[in-house]
Amino acid sequence: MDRRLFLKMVGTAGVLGACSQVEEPVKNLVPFVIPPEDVVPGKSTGYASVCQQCPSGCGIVVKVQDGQAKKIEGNPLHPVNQGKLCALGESALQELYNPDRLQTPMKRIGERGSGQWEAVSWEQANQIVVDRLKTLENNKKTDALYCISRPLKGHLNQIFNAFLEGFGSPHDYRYTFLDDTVLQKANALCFGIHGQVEYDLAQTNYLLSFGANFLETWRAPVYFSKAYGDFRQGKTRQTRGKFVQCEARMSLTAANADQWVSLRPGSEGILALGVAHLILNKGWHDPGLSNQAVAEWRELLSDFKPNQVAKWSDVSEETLLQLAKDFSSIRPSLALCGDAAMAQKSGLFQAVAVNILNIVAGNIGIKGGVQFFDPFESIDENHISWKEIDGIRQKMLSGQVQALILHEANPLFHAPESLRLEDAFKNVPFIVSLSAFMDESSAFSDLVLPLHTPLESFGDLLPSVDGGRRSVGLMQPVVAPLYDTRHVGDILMHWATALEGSVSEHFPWDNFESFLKEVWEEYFFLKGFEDGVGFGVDFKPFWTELLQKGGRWDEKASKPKTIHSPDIPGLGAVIHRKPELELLSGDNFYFIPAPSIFHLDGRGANRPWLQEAPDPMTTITWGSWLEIHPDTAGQLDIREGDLIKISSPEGAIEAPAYLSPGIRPDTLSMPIGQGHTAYGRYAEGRGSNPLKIIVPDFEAETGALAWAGTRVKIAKTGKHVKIAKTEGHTSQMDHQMAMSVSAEEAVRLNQQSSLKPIEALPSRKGVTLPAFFNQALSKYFRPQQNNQANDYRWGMVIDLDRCTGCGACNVSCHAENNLPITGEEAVKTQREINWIRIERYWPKSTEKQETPLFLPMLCQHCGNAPCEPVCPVYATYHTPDGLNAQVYNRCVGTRYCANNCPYEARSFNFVQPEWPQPLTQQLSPDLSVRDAGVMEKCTFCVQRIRTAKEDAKIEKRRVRDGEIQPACVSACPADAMLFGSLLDHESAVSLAASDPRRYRALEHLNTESAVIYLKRIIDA
Amino acid sequence: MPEMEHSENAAVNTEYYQLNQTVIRSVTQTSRNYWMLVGTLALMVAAGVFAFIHQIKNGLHVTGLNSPVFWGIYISTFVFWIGLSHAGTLLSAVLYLTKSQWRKPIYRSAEMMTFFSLINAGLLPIIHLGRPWFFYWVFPPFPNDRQLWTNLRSPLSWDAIAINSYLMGSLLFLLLGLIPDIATMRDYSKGWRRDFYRVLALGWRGSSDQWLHFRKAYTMVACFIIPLMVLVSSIVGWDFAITQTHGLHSTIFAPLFVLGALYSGAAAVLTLAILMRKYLHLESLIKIEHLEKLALFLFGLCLLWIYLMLTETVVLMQSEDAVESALLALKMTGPFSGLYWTMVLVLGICPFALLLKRVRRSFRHLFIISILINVGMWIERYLILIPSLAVSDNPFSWGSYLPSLIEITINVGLLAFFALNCLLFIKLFPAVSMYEMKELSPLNKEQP
Repeated sequence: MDRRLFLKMVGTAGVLGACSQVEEPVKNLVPFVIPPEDVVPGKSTGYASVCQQCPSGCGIVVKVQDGQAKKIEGNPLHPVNQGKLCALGESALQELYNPDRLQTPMKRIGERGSGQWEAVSWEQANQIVVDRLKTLENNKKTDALYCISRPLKGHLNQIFNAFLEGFGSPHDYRYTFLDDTVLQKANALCFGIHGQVEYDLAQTNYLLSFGANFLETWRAPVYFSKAYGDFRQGKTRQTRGKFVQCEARMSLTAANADQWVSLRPGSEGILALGVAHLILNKGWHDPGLSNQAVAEWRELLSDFKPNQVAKWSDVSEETLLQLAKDFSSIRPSLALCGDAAMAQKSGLFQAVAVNILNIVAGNIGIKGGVQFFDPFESIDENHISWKEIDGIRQKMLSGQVQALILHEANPLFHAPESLRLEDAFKNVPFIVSLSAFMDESSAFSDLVLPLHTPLESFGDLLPSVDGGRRSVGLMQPVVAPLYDTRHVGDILMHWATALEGSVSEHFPWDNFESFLKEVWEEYFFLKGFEDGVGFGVDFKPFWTELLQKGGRWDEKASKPKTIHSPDIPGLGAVIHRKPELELLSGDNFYFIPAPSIFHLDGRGANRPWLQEAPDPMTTITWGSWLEIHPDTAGQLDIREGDLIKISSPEGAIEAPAYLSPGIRPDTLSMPIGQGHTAYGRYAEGRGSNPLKIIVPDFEAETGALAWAGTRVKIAKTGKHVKIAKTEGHTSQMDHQMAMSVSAEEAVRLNQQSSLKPIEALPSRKGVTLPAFFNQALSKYFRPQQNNQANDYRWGMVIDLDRCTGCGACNVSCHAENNLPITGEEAVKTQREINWIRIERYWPKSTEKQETPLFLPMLCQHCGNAPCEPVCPVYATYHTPDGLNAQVYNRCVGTRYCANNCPYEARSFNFVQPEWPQPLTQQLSPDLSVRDAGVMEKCTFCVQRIRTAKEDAKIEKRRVRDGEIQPACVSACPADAMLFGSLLDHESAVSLAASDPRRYRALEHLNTESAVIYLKRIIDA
Repeated sequence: MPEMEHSENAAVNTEYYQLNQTVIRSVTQTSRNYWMLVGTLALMVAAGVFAFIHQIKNGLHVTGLNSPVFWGIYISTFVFWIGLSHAGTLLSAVLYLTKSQWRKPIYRSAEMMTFFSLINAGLLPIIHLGRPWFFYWVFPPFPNDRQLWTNLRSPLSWDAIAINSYLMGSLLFLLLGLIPDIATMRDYSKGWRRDFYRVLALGWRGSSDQWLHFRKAYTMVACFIIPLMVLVSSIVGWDFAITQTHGLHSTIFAPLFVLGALYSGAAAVLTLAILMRKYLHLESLIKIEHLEKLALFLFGLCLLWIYLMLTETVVLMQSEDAVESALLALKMTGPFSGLYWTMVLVLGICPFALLLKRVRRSFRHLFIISILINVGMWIERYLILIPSLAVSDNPFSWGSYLPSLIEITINVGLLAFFALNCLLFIKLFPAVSMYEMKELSPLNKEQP
């Protein structure tokens, strides 16, 4: 290259370079120039709604950030749950963001149930339905249209009614597996009332429950858990309530009782009447009963002599006497009758028997007893029992059912194998399923139309209990619909319009939302509210206010209705149908399917959080198991994990054995909820469904399925599986992790007046170091604790007397803190990640007390933390406000901290966590998602603490007591947890920490932990 | 007398020449078997590397580690390698300072072992990390823009410092002691070897002032490295002893680990010496008398080990703590009992055979016993760590552990890496110290 060429090239390059300077397009970092009014980037907004996961009707507040739902909290104003929420409710987010949600209408192309589908457009799908319905109309066979929906409990019911009525079909049915028709019928018989019954748990002093699992699945678990907490340790109470649970299998509820009375399954009513008989004969009955009534009762219950009852129920006469004495002398008392007790051929007898016990003891209509209120509005739904489903099945087989609309009802999952419901479904020419998921029944239909999930829908809901504060909850969509789904009301309206004729006249509204508004406006103007608004006020702001609040309810409970004494001899018909004592023959066992606290009747099985949540009593995750007593197992040479074949006359299933002392030796139990054949990746092919082998017997009067009345045989299959459970050792031996005191001891402790503040808890026992040494120690080895004047020392108090062990805290923590779903294999190999877990300890056999103890175990945020000094890179350190911080990005993964944590509160990421789309939308941006190879643990929800501190700083004030609630605390249905600063001696947590029942776990290690437990009281 | 002197010098020269030739032959001559062995070992190392890459890609769930057993055979084997590394220092430095003559034929191989086992020991904690690519965060102080230091309260920081110092110290010691021999090699070799040795010989001519400085330097490094040795083992012991974990937080751990290290190190030297004698044809240099001394030394260590083990066990037995009793039961009668009693047999009973002259004068018997002792020592480290982590203060979290195939592959790969390193070393450097062997010669009048 010569000089001229060089210069030419430089020149050309320079000119080209100068010409090619194209302006960079302007990119905005903040796309919201004019943001929507209620959206602050990085801040979450709460939208009130109602939880639809079970019929309780809890109010919820959904935290929405950047258009995505992040977390569900209980609505603190709502009378049902008062700000609390259960695990199933928390998991609604995973219903919304479930990867297996249906995204478009699906049309069957293969055989029924073959699982071959074709996506079709809404126009096509609607056309198919409308064509079918028109054909029925033309053939004058409109009554061949059947509709089975889940109970709607709201004004959606009106839409269904109108549609079917307008179309000309009387077959508008509501179906759910766990319904309370038997209880309703019993109440109608005893009290002449069809309506809402309230059990005033919070105010009662003696609770006798016959299999009512009110802390798990019975009616409204969150409502009852809250009431249970107050029943035990309510601030306004004089004494602590005593609780006895009578059932064959120790449920979580029974584990919380002071005494578990193990009785023969099906003898609950007999035992109740035995107690009533004793009360009457000893003259301990309600003094308000007239002499004639007493005589009539005695006459009616003359068969239930203690020795007979003892023989029948397998409960000793002493226990019987004790129960009678306590039930009548401790006032007010309350008896409950639960699902499994009523799921017998003699179900009505059992429920009536418990009612009689309440009547005889004088518990009706009083504070702390059974009360009846007028609901705000009654919505009459046509519930069908299993006997009626059996009737429909026969109609299907005879061709009388030409078309079937299923709405979020899944009878195929619950139907016993021997009913052959699937064969009947095959005989229905056209089945359309309205559902957000491809569940078993949808998988068997011709057309599946995807619905909005509750968090995307408008609606309203009457709760099943509200403590007499007549309430109705209002749902609103909290996020935009994720997929091309529709509201069920809109679908029906669309069909009606397309069908023209008389049906369409029933639907003058544009959509469901306008219908709902109109209904509420009608309420507003015609019925009026007591809330002080009336005519002449604009409806619109009121509607907005309703949506913000999440519904309407009375501020105070109304007066309970007066109940007239029942027609005593009239009850004779039921009482005389008492079940006869049938002793088990041969190698038969009683078989009790138990509704799962997480999956309920199976609906929760597609949520990975719930699959991973350890069952409170067995700590088993991701599958089903057969509960068997260790003695029985010993006789049959069954070990944990042995695959057992369970066979009834109607079929057989297999499940691994789990040995539990919480069950009668002649009884076996399996959880309901697993064993799905459809319903998405998390549910399918997991465990087995105990309902499949149920003998289809029905309750004589109500037609309810007697699902707890089956007898089974078991046999070893020779196969062995590892059960995915989280427990290590079943007993705490003499390590004082979970502690309890007797009732007398608790009273004695309470009388001691010398309560010391929490800093004065004993520490550094034995050795007293010279002052200079201590100073040096502090200066050089614990600098973080001394270098700042600390404003706060965050701490937690967990009252084990309130804690029920339900596990809501665990799921809430998963939702708040981006905890990964580790899966079944990880649990089997002990690599699950839990920041808070419920430890369940069975007592050692030498101890008298039988009930297990529950202990929520989370990072104890020790003041003198063993994990901190051993980390070589300062990934874990002590913050000035007393937290053990964990810096994920700094962690290299030596796992030394976890080895050194005596509480084993740390979890390690053995794999790179992954979330299938769109579950990632739930992940909170307030904290990081951790990588593989990083240690993690509870942070006391540091993101919430920081937010509160920033808010306080902006407003130039201190953080208020109670302003910060970690996810576990805010969820805890029994209100067992408190959070706040221990430095503030007036804070709720400080006051609670000066309870004489306080202790710290493993206190002898001098970890100075910030979690203070209050010992459980067992009044055995 | 000049005649006499001459013939004496000739004899010395002949003998020294033969010694030189024996050693040099062992360095320069390679057989086909040697290369096959090298190839096999290289394959095993490659397998280990692949296993490690697999582990990095998939996370630690490919190991058998879990909660609560967060540390597994990576760490127990790490302690084992630390133990082996004590051989060199013991034989070279301690016995050098105590002027034990029998160390001379074997100390070079012992030093080599020290260095290579320390490399393995250093690699294992890195392999064990959740995020091994950030291993350098443990070394203080590396340049960083956030002013983040390492936590000097953590025994792992002490480990990082101690192992590095020991690694450097032992490398220095090894290379320093090699200088006169490298010079000899330089003088006898041609080609690339000559250049290689010339650099490492650092201009050694064997002049008397060089010898004087050499001796001084060697003694100084020896004095420096002995406390390091004790320190490294003690710190590894403190890694465990400083935790709150039952079965680990025992004050006896530092002496127990130092002793255990010496025990396994000495046994490993015995193994290596016997192997080298056989396969490098050093029968004329490594004699049974030398090994007999080592065997008796081993027996002494065995008695000490029994004493310390008894102390630890008796203390555990007297504990009223439920976890500690459970721990003891787990080891003595539970799932670990097979390993436990094997360990007791191998480490506490077998060495008594050394009391028999017949046994301790037999290469074969010595070889078997030395191998058994190291197997036993590996088991001991496994039993110290795994059961203690499996049962903790919180009974709800009790668990169990079994190493996975990946962990085993990586550890076997490291064993192969060690063997490969040794094999390559003995073909580069004399495995027996020529100059010290010459000092041993009966013809050498200046017997130190």
